[in-house]
Amino acid sequence: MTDRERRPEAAPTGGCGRPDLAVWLPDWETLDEAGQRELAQHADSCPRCGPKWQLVQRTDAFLENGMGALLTDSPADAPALCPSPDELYDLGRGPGARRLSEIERVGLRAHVAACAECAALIETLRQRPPSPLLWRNATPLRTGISRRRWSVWAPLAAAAALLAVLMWNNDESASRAVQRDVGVERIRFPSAPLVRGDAGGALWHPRERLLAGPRGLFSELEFELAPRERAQRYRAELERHDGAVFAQGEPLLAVEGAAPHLRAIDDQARSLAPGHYTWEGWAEVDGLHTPLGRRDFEVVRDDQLIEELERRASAPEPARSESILHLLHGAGFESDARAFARTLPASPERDAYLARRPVR
Amino acid sequence: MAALRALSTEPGGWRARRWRAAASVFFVLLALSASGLARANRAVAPVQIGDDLRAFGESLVALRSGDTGAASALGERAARLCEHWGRCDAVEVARFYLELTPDERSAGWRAELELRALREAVYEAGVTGLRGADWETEAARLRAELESLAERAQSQPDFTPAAGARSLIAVLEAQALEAGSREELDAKRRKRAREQAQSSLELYARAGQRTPQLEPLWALARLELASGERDGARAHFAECERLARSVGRDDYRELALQGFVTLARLDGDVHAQEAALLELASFRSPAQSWPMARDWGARLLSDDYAAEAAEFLERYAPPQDSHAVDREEWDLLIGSARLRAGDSEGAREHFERVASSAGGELAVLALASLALHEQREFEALELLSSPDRLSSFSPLGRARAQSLLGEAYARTEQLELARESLEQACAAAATWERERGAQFELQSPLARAAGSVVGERLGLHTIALLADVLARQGAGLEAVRLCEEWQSRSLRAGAELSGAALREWAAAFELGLVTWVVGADFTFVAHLAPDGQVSHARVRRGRRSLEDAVRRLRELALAPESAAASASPSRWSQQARAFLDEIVPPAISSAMARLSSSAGGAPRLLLSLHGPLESAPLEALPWEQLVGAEDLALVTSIGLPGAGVGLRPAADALEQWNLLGGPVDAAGREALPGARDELAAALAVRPKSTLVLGGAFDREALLAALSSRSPLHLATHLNGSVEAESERAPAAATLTAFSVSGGADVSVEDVARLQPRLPLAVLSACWTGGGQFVDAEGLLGMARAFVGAGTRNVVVTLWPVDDAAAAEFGAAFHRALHEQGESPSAARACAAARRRLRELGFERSGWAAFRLVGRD
Repeated sequence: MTDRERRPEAAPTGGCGRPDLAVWLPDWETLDEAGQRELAQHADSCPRCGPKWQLVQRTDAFLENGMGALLTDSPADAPALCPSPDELYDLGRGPGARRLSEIERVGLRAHVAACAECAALIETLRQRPPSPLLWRNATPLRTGISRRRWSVWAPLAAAAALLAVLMWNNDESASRAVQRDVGVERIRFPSAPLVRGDAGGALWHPRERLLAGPRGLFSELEFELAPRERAQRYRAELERHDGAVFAQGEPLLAVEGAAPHLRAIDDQARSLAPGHYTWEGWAEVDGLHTPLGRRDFEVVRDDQLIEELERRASAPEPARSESILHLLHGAGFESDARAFARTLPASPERDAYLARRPVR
Repeated sequence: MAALRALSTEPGGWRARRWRAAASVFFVLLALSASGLARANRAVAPVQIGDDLRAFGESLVALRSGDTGAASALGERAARLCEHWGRCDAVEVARFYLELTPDERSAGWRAELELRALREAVYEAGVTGLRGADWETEAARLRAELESLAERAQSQPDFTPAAGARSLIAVLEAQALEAGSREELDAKRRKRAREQAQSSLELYARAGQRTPQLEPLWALARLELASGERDGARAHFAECERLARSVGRDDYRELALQGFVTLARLDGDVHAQEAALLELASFRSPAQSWPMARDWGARLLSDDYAAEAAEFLERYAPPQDSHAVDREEWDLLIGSARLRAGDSEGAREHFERVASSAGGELAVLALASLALHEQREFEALELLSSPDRLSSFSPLGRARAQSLLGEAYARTEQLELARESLEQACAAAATWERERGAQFELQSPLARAAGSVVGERLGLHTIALLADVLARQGAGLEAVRLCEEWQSRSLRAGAELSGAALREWAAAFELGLVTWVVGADFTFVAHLAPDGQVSHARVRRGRRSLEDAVRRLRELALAPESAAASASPSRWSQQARAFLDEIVPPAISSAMARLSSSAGGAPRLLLSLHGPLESAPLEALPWEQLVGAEDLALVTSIGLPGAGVGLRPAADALEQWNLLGGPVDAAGREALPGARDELAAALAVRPKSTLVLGGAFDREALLAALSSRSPLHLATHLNGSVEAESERAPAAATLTAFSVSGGADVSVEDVARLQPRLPLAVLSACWTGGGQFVDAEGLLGMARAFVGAGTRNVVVTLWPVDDAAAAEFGAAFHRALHEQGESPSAARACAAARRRLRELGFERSGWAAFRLVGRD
């Protein structure tokens, strides 16, 4: 039996000149090499299948490389605006849900308010999705797919697959229309003062102030360091102190990773108490442990600001995103503003904003 | 342990390095013996050189050993190496041997086998670690046999064994020179050793052989290093590194880079040392190279990352079966790291192991440091105070012992003995500095490359201790002189600073001068009043603590001030005052307040800034609360220049300015809109000035302005990413440079070369007061390049300044300077301009960025 003969039973194929190929999109990797090539060639010229082909490729990349690759490779016009199922689940606070940061909650609530599908999914996601997942409007994901990485990445696969479902079916939805209206290119990002030179050091963020609300930090605690040539690993060590100029800190936590962007995601990081902190950056350069410097920041609890941000979160886009960004910036929460900007769809303006590094 | 001690007596064996943080564990530096033959020999093990190279070598051996049938294969393989790998020296090698007759090759091969046996014996001695008399006897035998072989082979058509023999002789002589004192190997023998290496190089070159030249090159560099010829050593290590890189011999590349590390250490040049280590790490891991792991661990420790150093050294410990010297070094270094991290028990374990296995001065110094750390001063004195014991120490070991003794005596209130010991330690540092040769490097083409013997080898801890002892003995002026004499020495090019000159400096400022020495564990501060009265204090903050406080204060100074963006607006006020109270204790501030009450308007205070204080945002601190003068004008110096305080320039010397700036990019776009306004405002005040803006502001225009004697106002970018090849390090150096139009720049090197002697320069750009930090010297950057060259006053910035604030400051500064009449004070103008910016509503990051450096 050829691959074609064991095709899936049903699939969304309307508007496509090669429905016989389109049905293989969800299971493309079970095709032989020739079949995959034919499918790819068809997708290149089919307006209907093309985006879906790209989607499954990206999903595959996700499974291969983790979420980072998927996010960083997302083209600006990709239908990647709906939150992931995990995020929606966490927002719905089902059993075992992750505790969301304030910034995540603001962003998610705003999205769900405008996206009927996500709102509906919130209800269905009160329980963790089973794995393997059911593809909506498609055949069940076949258990015969047993590539090793699927077992390794099973939890991520679950999330990615459901994300794929969401995106797959989004192209004619109301939420998609809303998201197109976000018009990130219309958001005016905060500008930087013109200074004579650049001496920002290697420790970029967090700096100055981080916003906290009643439920902890507004943003996730993320350490951004200047990339160091030939560095294999980075490390950030956090200590707490009383804010005095000669204060000695007490070690609190440490985060390590291969990229100069380290995320502290445990509960301790999320629930940093208001107060003063110092973090120290390290890089391992060709095996040599190299100090990168130290920097302070202060966690500031500001319930009024949190409330204001939540109020603005329900405004229509792009006013919502723009006002949140500027409010955070104006209040001296630049690191939070950056974290929020990262949740916005990619655009040249957003990327330029995020690429901006501190100059002093 | 005798050999180990011997290693520490010669320059290559001095493993001194920066010891800001833990002067008490300085002894460990004595033990780091990278240039010992044993380790070096082991490092010259054959490496993988690729299938083609191996095949070529097999053919060559076959041909030389009598297989004439190997000739064609040899030719083919040489051609392949040339074609595919660019190793056309293989063709030359093949040609050399193919042109010999079979008998000639046979004779050469016999000599080669003889050479191989001798080489093996030399390296075997290194691996087994022969020391002392055993090694000297064996070395003499090997040397005699090698000389005999070289004589016999030199006249043969295949003379390459002679080249190898001469190279090995040079290696043996280098080792002998490194292991003994310079005097022990007389000048004639040293010259002969160098000739052997040179002869080897020439013979290999004649035979078209490149790779074998690595060994004599390396030996030559070692011979020169051990003879104190550092420039020659540097050149030969560089040549060795280049050749090793081009022929793919990482083993010799590693040795050459270790040579650079040793040279940088001797020069007190931590930046060059780091560059060489990072270059080395690009192809060797610390697990593969104990010397690299050792040097990096020591670097972490000298920067006071003690816990991290201990962790790193634990991870990269030399294997249990490694050479005893490696294990001893490791014990001393990790023990020192643990001691500094507060783990005395952990340190004791390592130190006692060294004491039981090796003994000698290193163990004594280690145990004395431990005793001092644990406040067992009398035990430390007992260990060190016997004259017999010290006489057996190396010069560096004696100096270190004197410093430890001085500290122990000071703690037990035996001040005269403390003074004597500490002065002896300083005298030893002065000797090292003289031996270092070109010690004052600021005027070198590459200003960043300067090192500091005092900071990196003696340690400011010793200076702080001695200053404190002197002050407690009532010799206050001598204490102040000591602080200035031993810091920023490059500004005086070695000239001594007299007490009388110091009093002149103080008398020139209404509130006198304040100076600091920031030691590892405490800071000494002294105030010299215009009438010569001295007040002093000991501040409990050491270098690391002050560095961190300065960093924190700078961050606070740069934080947004608006109520909306600041959770605690009073925090700055509290912390700025706390910092000021700490660095200017009541004994000093009350003396200044007394002077202030009787001084006229706008009194001036000279702050001679050293160490971390040079970066502190002092202009933003509430001095008026401390001194009582609302219009206090701060003058900061980065050490006292040898020219003395001199006379302030008259007003007419400040009439015709060179006003330059506002660079444009290649498309003609203006990079800094504020620069044009700033210079235009200056021109309005100084209409006789020359204004050079936009496209006309090019490299030539700036160089011309620097060469003139007119005051200069520069409004542009300063960037820190200009790279320049350095002879002192294998990697390119990064220099700061002013941006000029057309994408060009004028670097700190250009400034240092042109030696601008201007009455006043306003450097309105990014952090022109910054630079590369060298302990006991300060920040080597634009400000120092100007002041060191003889420019009287420089207005610099403490961080990248807002374009708008810079424009406003420039205008306000010129107006304030102009309004002062006949004898204008740049310091008062600077203070007035800062006040003006505050009145205009600029935040602290705008107004506090500007500092006057110089003599006013």
